[in-house]
Amino acid sequence: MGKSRFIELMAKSIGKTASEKELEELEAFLDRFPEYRKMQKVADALKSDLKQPDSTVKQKDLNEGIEELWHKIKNSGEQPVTLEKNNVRSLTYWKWVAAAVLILTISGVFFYTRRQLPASPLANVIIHHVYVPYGKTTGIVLPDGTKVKLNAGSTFSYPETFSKITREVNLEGEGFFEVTKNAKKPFLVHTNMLTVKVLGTVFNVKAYRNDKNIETTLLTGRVQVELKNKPEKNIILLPNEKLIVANNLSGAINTPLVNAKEAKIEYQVTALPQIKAEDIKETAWLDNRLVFTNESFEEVAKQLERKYNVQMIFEEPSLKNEQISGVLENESLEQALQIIKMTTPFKFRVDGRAIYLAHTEKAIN
Amino acid sequence: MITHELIHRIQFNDDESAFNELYKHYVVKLCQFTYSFLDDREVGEEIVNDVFLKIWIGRKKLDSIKNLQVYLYVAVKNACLNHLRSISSKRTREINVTAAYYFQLSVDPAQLLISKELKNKVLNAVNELPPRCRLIFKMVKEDDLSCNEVAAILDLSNKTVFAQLTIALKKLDQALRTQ
Repeated sequence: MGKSRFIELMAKSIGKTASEKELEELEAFLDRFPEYRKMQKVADALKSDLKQPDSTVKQKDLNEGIEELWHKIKNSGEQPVTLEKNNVRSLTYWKWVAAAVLILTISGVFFYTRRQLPASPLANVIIHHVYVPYGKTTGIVLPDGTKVKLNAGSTFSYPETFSKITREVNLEGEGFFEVTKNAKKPFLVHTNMLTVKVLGTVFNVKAYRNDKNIETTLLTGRVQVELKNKPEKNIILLPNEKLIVANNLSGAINTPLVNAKEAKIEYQVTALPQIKAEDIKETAWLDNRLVFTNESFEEVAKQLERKYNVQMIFEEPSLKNEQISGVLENESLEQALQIIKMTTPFKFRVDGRAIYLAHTEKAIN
Repeated sequence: MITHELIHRIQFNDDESAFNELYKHYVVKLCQFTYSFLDDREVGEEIVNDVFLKIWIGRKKLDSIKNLQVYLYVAVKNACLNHLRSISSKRTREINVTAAYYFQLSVDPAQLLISKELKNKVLNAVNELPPRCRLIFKMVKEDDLSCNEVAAILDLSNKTVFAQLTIALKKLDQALRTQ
């Protein structure tokens, strides 16, 4: 066989058009003339390298891309599921959940029994990604029994099976965790600014990319928080304490209200006021409620955007700094805005999914 | 292949996580593919996003697409050509492949038992191939497409694609032989 036949076979094999027979022929040829192996290896090792340097898109960028895409999809006015259909869908949805739980239990039992043997390390771990669109919340149960509830606009990822030493998950957005106790395997929640490490507790993490602050609130147990930019500093939280960290990634500097002294505080721990459990505002979203105590209109708007899947546009920036307190429950968006209007005068105009906010005429005059 | 299951989940369960998976699997490859025709990264990314948007909106008819992989590439290519036409109204364009790809060796030359010098020769030879030939070589090698699929995507005959691939391998062989 000549060289040209060899190249033809190589081309066929790379181009996935070679028959079994041809592949055998190629192997036989390579066995007979080992010097050709070199060429095969070099061809294998050739990798394209884009002119642009950052050809490897990072996981984070990917998630961002997906978020953007979903935003675009929601804004395209696509309404595929009517209300009726929705009911049917939620039924099938539960069927899937039941199936998933069943599979998880079975595989859990399977892996547990397997672990007793000198188990072979799992070669590759499947990572599950969950994205919660605006206007929705979702609940999942992790392989170790930990329950997670995710708020609107959150991205969450977790491995199908946890490693032997730790349980690690990633979160961008807001999640409420009820972690199953396992002293041997710490549970770690990674966010872009900090990592929360626990053994078994109930806590809430709020880490939206576009919020001013990242918050961790502990309800029971004990958590340890490590800031990404200060790994040597560990912060321990006790029940009913809340940690607030400035999210400097979103550029907290350009908020003129924060004075210089305040801006220097990178984190602070505060105790929750002594109130009934259902009034704790950090976890009110679990019951589909929003609770505000002296929060700026800007922050309130962000939460409304997530809950109602709309876009709030301030036509006058000064409105952003209005302080708002109140409790919102099952109101429609319109009702909710009417309620806020009662204490903070402003007017709004609805245009599809966009809400324009402005001072009332009186305030301008 | 995983995509069959994904397609089913997207079409019949409106499964958003399946759609995310599909997106993650193809987005990088498709974005790189746009760089073969466009110089503008952002436009390329937007085009790819639009194609995915249409996939989601038309998800109820997804099963009428025979080969989703080829469909995605063709849709992206057509959108790129439309974009080129829209920005230069006069020139009627065919695919004008830019020199977006350069090849590197992914392993140390020592492991391949070739010298640094020979490595440079090989890379020069491959990188001097005409852009279209390079693109075909890249698509077949890295994007996991067969000759026939590449032919369908680029609107060429199988024979042309195969011939281009052969040219690339011949160059490689020549470079390795000139010691």
